[in-house]
Amino acid sequence: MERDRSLMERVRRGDEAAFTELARRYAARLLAVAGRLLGSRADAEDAVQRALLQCYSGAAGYDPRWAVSTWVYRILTNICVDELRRRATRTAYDQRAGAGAVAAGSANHRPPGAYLDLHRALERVPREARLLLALRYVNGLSYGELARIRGISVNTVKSQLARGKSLLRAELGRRGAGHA
Amino acid sequence: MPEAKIPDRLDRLLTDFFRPEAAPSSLTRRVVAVARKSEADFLRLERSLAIQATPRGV
Repeated sequence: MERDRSLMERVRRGDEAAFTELARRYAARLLAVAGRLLGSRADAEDAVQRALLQCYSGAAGYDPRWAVSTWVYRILTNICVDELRRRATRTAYDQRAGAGAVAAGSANHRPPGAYLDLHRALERVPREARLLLALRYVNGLSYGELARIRGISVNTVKSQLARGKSLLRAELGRRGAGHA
Repeated sequence: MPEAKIPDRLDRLLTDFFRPEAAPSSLTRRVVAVARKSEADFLRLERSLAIQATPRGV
């Protein structure tokens, strides 16, 4: 299988077949991250589509010193964070307007029954830690790669992940799910 | 996860929870179609804005 970097080099030259292969290679993993972060399948597909299109249109700006995955995940997570911020603003506005806003992203997402406790527990984890957990467990990304994707230090990555898992354990314990 | 220690129950639960499902092939097709269209639109715009040098000037 062609390596990501040489595939990306072809995308930079405007090779549509290379872009199709790149999209195929990353779509499922990107969708898993976006889906778990945004909740709604439709919003997740939209985020993935936007991320891949940014990869295509911004291919000239790709720095080959970075792993392609780092670059692609960085674009996706920025899109997801923007979307979550937009929802938070909208929710605050709706609440002020007395519209009884629904929790962001929960409307279309029905997690499998076995994961309902975990899904709800994850909602209690701060956004940055949730994002790092998603990237870590979807793809097994290293601390170093997570740090590059989010533009933070490796130590911050480690502490955020530890904090996120600690909160999850506490929340699952409280719910009697016993995953500590 | 190269730095990971022995996975505990929570690690295993999270790995299962975050396991990617297959992305619909329609998603890839849609992305490629939009990229193609954007490129065509850009080329059209570039042509419409084209600056040409003539003997009378630019």
